[in-house]
Amino acid sequence: MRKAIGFSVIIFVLLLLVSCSRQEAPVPFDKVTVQLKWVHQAQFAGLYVAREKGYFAEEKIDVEFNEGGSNIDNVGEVTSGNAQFGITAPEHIIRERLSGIKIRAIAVVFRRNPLVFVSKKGSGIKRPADFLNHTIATSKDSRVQLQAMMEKLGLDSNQLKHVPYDRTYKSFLNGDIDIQSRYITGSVQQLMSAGYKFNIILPSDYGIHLYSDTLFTTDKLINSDPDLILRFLRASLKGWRYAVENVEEAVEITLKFAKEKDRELQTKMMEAQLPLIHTGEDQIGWMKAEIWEGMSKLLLEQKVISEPADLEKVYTMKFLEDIYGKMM
Amino acid sequence: MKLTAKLTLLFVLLTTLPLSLVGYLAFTNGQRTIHQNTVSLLVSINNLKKANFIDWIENKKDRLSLFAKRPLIVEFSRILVSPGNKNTVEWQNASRKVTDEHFKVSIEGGGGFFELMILRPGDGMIVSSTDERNKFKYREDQPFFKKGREGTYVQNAYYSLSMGQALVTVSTPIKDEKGNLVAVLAGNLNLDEITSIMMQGSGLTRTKETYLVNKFNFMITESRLKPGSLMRRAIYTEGAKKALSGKSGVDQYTDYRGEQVFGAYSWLPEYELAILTEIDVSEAIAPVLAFRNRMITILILVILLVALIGIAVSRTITGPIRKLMTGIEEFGRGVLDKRIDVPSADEIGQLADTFNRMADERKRVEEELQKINKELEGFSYSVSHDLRAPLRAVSGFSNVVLEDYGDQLDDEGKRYLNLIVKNTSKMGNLIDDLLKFSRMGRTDMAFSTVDMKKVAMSACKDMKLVYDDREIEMSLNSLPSIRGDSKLLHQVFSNLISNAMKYTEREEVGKIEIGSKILKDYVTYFVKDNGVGFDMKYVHKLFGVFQRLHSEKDFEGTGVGLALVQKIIHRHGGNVWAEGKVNEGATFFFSLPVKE
Repeated sequence: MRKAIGFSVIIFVLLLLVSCSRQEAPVPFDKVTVQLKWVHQAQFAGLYVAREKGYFAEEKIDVEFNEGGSNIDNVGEVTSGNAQFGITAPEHIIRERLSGIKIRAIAVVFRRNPLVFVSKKGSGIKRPADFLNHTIATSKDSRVQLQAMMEKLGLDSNQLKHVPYDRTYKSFLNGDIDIQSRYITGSVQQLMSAGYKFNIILPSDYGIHLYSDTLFTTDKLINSDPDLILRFLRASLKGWRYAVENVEEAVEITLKFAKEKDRELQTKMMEAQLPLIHTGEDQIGWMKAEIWEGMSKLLLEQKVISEPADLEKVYTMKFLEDIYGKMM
Repeated sequence: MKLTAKLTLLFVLLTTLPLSLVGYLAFTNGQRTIHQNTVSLLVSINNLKKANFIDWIENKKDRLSLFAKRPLIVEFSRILVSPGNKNTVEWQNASRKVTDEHFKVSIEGGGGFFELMILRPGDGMIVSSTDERNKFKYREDQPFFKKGREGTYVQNAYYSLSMGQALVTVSTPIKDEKGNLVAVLAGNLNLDEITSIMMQGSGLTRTKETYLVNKFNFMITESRLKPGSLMRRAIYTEGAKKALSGKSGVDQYTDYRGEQVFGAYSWLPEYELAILTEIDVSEAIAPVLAFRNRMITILILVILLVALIGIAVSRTITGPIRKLMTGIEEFGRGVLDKRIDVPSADEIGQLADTFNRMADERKRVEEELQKINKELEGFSYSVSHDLRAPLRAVSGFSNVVLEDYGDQLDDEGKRYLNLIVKNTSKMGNLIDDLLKFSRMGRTDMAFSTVDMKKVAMSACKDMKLVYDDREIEMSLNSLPSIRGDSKLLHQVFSNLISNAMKYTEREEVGKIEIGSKILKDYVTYFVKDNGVGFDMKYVHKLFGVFQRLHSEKDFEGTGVGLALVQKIIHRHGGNVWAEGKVNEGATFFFSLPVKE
């Protein structure tokens, strides 16, 4: 009997809600654009999932993604208002902040840096100490890490033989290049599955701990519409969580966006980035002060920046804390 | 409702009601028991696994700290962490001996660690490891290094990018005899081992599983039900939330697959892990459902059986009753030889016997009556027949007297003689009618399908000839055909129509209506007029022989017509009756049975 009453109350309330929501005008969706760090690929799977699974819609957000590229200024797109959120490297955010651009990190998607150095198996090059007197090709963004790593280990980087970077693997495979910087999430996976064997040297094994893909927005938006940021972040993290738990489906969804429709490639990328996103420590997206401090220190030591950054203004834990609750 | 149905229903109700009640009680009782069993089973399994896990991990900790106390390990560590050239013979020696003679021996001996290493306390560099690839890497940021300097520590479930796998690392300080920190000893454990502890014995069920969740809600052991969950799946279920907030208990909630489960959960504060043991509600209550289904099956079978028994039992009661009923019906239709055979000695048997006795008596009486009736008919026939001859003599000789000796008689005498002649002729008519009437009881009938309309029309025509001076308005409605003797039925209509014409004499226009009405087993025909009618008080006299309601002076006739009608209709198995009112006309009805 009590059940029956409870049931009818629920029905009544539901009817009330339905009738109310019918009378009210639909809540308008916030239009949001995200400036991606690079072209559509599994790197941003969590965002695609959040959109396709309706997580953004649940938060009343209508989201669009703009592809990045070598000639696209991620930060500029966000500060100009073409996009409300962007994904970029954390050192980029520190640098821009110091130059007076008012942007702030709100969460880190890749909490470990995918940059690695690879050498051929059997080359004997297994650790940074072995780099000396060998040819090395580094991309622009890997140079700081290499330099910092060598310094930390007390190795003389003058003994490195720098050669021009080659996006293809040709010079590496034919032996012209001994060591090359690469993203562990990218072509390394492809070549490994093709049967090539590498020694992989992780900067994080040698005291270099940099975050990678970081979500940021402007101070202006943080001050004017913190609720939108909270909703956006909540949906994004939910998408990432789903993507981590359901790799196959995440890849499937990614393929709807990516120009590169190679399922195997996207799957490899997705699997390789899992330990970067979800490390087993802290929740997805979480940021630690010590890492930000370490990055700032490293950039200062490497003279990428000339003065210490005010980290309070570089990132905010406000939204992550709201979502996950305060952590120790 | 028929008696059979009533009895059967009664049987079914009487048996199923208590059975259902007992079944329901057993069901709820079983449900409660199973629920309690499930809950206590889950709690004890969860506690057991918890104990297994703690045993396992404490064993590793003990092993590692014992290792760290070996004097040789302390000695080698001191050499390994000392600054300076790593290419000295002493250093190389120490490195080789630590890994080959101590670490590898331990690993191969099944110590559980798959990698053991020594870290420099200052900067976290791995100075020695059983995995050559990890040598000289830094672990300065890892909790196992930081905390391992102070005491034995377990860093549970983290993903090592460098190792390319998820693992658990146990660490412990290596101290010299004075208690100074020399190095940190660390061992890596495979998460698969914890998974296998959690999975042990789960195979007996379909959905039961035990798993660990770290404080960031990630599952750190593999899921039995959703492989690929290890270090990937975040668990935000009711059970996980409660466990992570430090509570222990058991509940029903929706698990990470979206299934309803019973789950026991507990928090392991020392390792910052939640342990959960869950089973699908559907599996847990399967025995209850099976029990319920069994109960329902039994109930249905019992109902069917009882219904069959009920039908059989009520048949033994209703069968004789039905026999009795059909027998009486048949007897009622005139099959006087019908007797009912109910051999039982119960009330129904007695009833049948009583009926049979009554039927015997009735048959005897009927036969006697028939005999008497026949005798009577024969008597009246011979009487009327024999009366005719003397009557003719009286009439004939009276005429002779009148003709031959008329002149010798005075007027008075002639008048008397005339009266004699007239009355003998009237008596002759009476005798004729009487003969006709008694003959009616004896002639055989020729049954055929009679077109009543045709018959009625022909009777009308005849009567119109008789009463040709009258103005009559006839209305003849449709009359259904029926089985009967057409000649006799013609007689019926003739009599009734003639009657109607006679009694409408005083009306300016005589109105006669002939019609019918079909009932279930009978067709009722009627002849209605607007004549003088009669008083319903005397209706019972209408159909008697020589009975008249009006004086002969007013309306001529012998009073045999309607008696004849009644006799004919009775011989057809039908019935006659009349309705009327003085001066407002009369209606005569007769009904005939519809026979195949």
